[in-house]
Amino acid sequence: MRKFLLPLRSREKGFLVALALAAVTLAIVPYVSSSYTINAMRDAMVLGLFALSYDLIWGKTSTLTLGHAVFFGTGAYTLAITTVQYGVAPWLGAVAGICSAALLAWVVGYFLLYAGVRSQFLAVISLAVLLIVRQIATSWRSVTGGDVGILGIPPLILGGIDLSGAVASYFAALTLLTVALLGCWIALRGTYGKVLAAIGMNEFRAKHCGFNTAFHLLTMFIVSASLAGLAGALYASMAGVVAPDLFSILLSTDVVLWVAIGGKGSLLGPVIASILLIRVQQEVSSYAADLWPLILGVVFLFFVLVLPKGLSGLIAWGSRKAGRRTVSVAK
Amino acid sequence: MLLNMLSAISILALVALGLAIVFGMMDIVNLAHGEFVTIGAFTLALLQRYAGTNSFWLALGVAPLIGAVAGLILERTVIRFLYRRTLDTLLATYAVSLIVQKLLEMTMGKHPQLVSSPLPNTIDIVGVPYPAYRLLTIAIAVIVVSTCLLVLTRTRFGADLRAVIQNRQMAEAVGINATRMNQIAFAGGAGLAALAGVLIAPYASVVAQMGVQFLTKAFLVVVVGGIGSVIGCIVGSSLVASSETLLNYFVDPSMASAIVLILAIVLVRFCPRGLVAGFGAGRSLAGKS
Repeated sequence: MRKFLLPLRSREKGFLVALALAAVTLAIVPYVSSSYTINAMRDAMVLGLFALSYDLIWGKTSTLTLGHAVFFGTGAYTLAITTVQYGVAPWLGAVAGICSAALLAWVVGYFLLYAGVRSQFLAVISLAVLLIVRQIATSWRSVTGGDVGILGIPPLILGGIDLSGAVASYFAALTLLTVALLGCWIALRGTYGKVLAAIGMNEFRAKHCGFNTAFHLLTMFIVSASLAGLAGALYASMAGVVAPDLFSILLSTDVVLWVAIGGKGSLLGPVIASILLIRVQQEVSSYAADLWPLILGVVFLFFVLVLPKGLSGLIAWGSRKAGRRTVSVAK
Repeated sequence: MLLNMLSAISILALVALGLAIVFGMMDIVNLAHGEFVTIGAFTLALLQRYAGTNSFWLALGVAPLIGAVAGLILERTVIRFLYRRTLDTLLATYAVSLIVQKLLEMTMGKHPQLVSSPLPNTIDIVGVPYPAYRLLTIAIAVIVVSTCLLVLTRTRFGADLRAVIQNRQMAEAVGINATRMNQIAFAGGAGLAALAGVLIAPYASVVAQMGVQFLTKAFLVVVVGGIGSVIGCIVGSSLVASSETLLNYFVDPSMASAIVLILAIVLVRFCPRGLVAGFGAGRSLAGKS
């Protein structure tokens, strides 16, 4: 327990303040905007949860995968199949979604991570996994509904509270997102986060310092997949429909992008970046649907070349600079 | 059936070869490689539109040049800033591929381009008629791949290139201009992809997104066959393309490609260095990977 109660460093205070600010801002939104905006923001927050899950694996351990949407889709599809085909209660379906995403991650991760498949290889192979699952989703018609997908997924009902209304589901998404964000942050701010960072920096050395690197990577992979599965289940129950599009390469690369732009490993950065980018995308697409990938490509290229640490890296740099200035003024 | 297999192999080998060189030698994951294939195919489409069907032969010469120039531009403007950051090259080239796809779509339109094969007739082989164009594809692929193999193994240039792949610092220390080698290799890889694009165009529908489907397969080939090795690339593409063509006869095509992907993953699990250890193998053995 002691390691969770480390004294707060100033940077960490900054994180908590930013998190509180973001949460409060998001909590005000439903009172001041139209129902369209509320729904759009809610979807954006669910995808923000997805971005957070990806930040755990790519940001924290520097393990790049290109098929993260597979877990999102698995969560969504499991919820859809269990609730629509078997009449399971929605919250149980969501639990099943998380479990199936975790199970898939365990199988794939055990198979690959313990074999020493890493970096570029893992990225390419994970893309292949995504293509396989997508193939299954389209061709196994009796269960997955083929190209059409599954319609009529019931909304979540948690502890007697019906989450089908726009405002209720908005706050459910916000609460889950905040709790998940805080939980990940608390779990990784201590020693464990450092171990993961060490593995990400140089796995060879971390291994020879006595850490079972494959095990730690697999653990993070499973945790990340479960979170993605949760996001997928939420998405399915709120959208009411799943389709093979969920297993798209585009979603997998979008999430890479959100994390890259928000700042790898900063947890809050990717979440905010994803929410903002999705909102911008929704607005731009309504004017010119074709333009969006072009803008995305240019923005992304800019960030990779000029700001590899993303927005949160920029903010950290800015605050360090400001801090130095105050010190020199004080002298 | 055997010939179908051979033509599938030869096309895949051409696409993968360029990728193998770039991936293996410079540690660059080039997700824009598929776009060079597209560029090749579009070059053919444009030439045929304005200069008639027979300009296929012209395209065969021009497209690799255009591809190489495009590759060189990409290398100079983006890749060269990222030489020490392997995974970032992946992200940057992905962004580039998005941009190129969209620009092509906006300038050329969403409809498939019209492309015709230069040899529409068939040739009888042991009594069975077979499209002459496929034979041409096989012939060109064999010539190009074996030329590459010879250049890499038998010439001074090839020796220099392999030296850079194995150990860049040492290669520079003995006076090889590694930066220039990288440029040439990248442009060459792009040129090969564009050539493959021209050859593919008559079979496939020429749209801006056509490169994507070849990209994943080509990557699998490279990973399965062994990084940075020409032989591995040939072995890998034979394996991937032939099993896919064979499976197509037994199960439905989309399942066939899924099965091939699974097979490839299992293979990689058991030999993470690929079937044929490539020129880069020395480096990974030294634990510097």
